[in-house]
Amino acid sequence: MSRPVEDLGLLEQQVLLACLRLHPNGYGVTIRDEIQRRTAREYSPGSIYAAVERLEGKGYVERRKGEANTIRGGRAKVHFTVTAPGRKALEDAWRVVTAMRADLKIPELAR
Amino acid sequence: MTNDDLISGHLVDEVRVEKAMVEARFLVVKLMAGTAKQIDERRFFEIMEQIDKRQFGEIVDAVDEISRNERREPPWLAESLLCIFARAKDIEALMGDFEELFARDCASGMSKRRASARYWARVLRSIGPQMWQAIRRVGLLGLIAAALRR
Repeated sequence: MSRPVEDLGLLEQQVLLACLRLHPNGYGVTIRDEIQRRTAREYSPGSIYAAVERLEGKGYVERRKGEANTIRGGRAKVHFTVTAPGRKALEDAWRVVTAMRADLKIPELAR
Repeated sequence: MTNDDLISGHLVDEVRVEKAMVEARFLVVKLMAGTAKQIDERRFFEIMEQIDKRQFGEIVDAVDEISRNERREPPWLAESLLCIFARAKDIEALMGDFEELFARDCASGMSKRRASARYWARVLRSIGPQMWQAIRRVGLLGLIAAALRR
């Protein structure tokens, strides 16, 4: 098995998946809402941005400045998109989990 | 006096106009408080049309004053705290996200106090991850220096 590009934490994986789902309009609030809606985990915006910072550092996401509106106090959104290395890292992370689950005798996890 | 009275009646005497103004102001306050779906906006503007321009101006001034008093803004201290630890390039977007969530809470009919408490909770939960990232980025001394600069 090839070595993973770089390990991804659970939140990082969730953020990447949310960005893929929301593409091209994923930004802090919608990423947080998407994760909460699908996993019932409520992360703070600060946690999301910390994860995004790590992902940006690894070159897995790119940012694009969006529009500002009055609801946001005139502050612009920042949209995040997953790069090709980001998709690759996500695939690698899944491959690791799939490999570890294979032939497992615990029925609930082997499914 | 009901809305129908205000719309169909002739607002000729000062007492009735005064009552219409009170009603109009009340409806505007409801609009601003985010409970607009409970009133008929078309009727509201019909009422406003029946009030002469001078009095309309008075209402607008009164509403501006109410607006200044009632405007819901997030707690400034929490915002300041957030600025200390957030990455400079993220501050605008992060604060915008916090404000959007705050506005959403207010629009849901939540009291300002509760919306502010939730804002504080989000900020406090954000500080840990943001501080940890900042320490990884610039080190503890760098973080302190950056906080002092801000």
